[in-house]
Amino acid sequence: MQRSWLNIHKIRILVFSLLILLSPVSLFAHPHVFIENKLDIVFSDDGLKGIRVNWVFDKIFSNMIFVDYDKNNNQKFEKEEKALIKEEAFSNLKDYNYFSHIKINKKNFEVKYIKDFNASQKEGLLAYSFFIPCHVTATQDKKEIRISIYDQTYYIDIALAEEKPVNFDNHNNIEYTYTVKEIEEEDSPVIADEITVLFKKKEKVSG
Amino acid sequence: MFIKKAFLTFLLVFLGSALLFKDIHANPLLRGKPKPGKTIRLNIYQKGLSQLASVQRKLNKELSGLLTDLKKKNPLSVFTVLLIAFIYGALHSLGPGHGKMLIS
Repeated sequence: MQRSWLNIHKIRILVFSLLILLSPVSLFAHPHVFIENKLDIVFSDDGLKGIRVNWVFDKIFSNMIFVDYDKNNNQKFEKEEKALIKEEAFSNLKDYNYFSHIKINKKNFEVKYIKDFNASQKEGLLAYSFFIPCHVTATQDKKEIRISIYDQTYYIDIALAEEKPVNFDNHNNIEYTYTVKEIEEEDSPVIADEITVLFKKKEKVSG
Repeated sequence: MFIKKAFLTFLLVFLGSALLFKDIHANPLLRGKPKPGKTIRLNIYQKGLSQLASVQRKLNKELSGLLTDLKKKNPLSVFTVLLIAFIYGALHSLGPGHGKMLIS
């Protein structure tokens, strides 16, 4: 069976280009850890207090942490175990602003520290939660906060949970609306969800 | 001969890019990893690939589920999965960031 020279040549070019294209690119499009993300937008009577971030990890990373830190293997983390996890498997995120990209009225809000870190086991998976303090007074004028949580290196894939990804706490005195869409910034290295919350003080009904 | 050449090219490019990009493949959650430099900007093609994230997520869940399922069933299928995983892992470890794991 005869094949023309052109066909063989084309096939070679195709295979070589595919191989070359696929190899370095796999570095970028290949996260090793997967996080399911849920946010609690926490208000107070005065306005926004902060954001609680709730993460549930994939089974493989969860097992790694369980093996390394649940020393007594009781499917629970004691205070000492939690402290070690925070130190060795979380605190490094300070350099990454805890993956949190926040804008208040279009100005960047840098997350420098967090509070109330907790590590737990939920249905066999590792869960982290932490609180980002972020005070914004609610006035009669609408204020906007945009939140996007992602790893710019894309080693970790962070996705909003499919059910009830955003919740609101203590909003009795606050009027708010929110939307979730893909981040618009051209600079964003990964595709991530951005939550936009518009809020203002509830008007008092006199009488 | 062609297959050999293709494989060698692949290996060369893969290892070469591994050397170039080795700092990228570090888990930000873990202490002692390199601090981030400039934000890595991905071009359109790579951004398009990160769209596959939802596919990868599902795949990851499926695979994890499969492994837990297999524990309960036929030991032969467990062996097969382990063999495939071993070969995959051996090849995958050629990628960046895994050298440390190999040594430890």
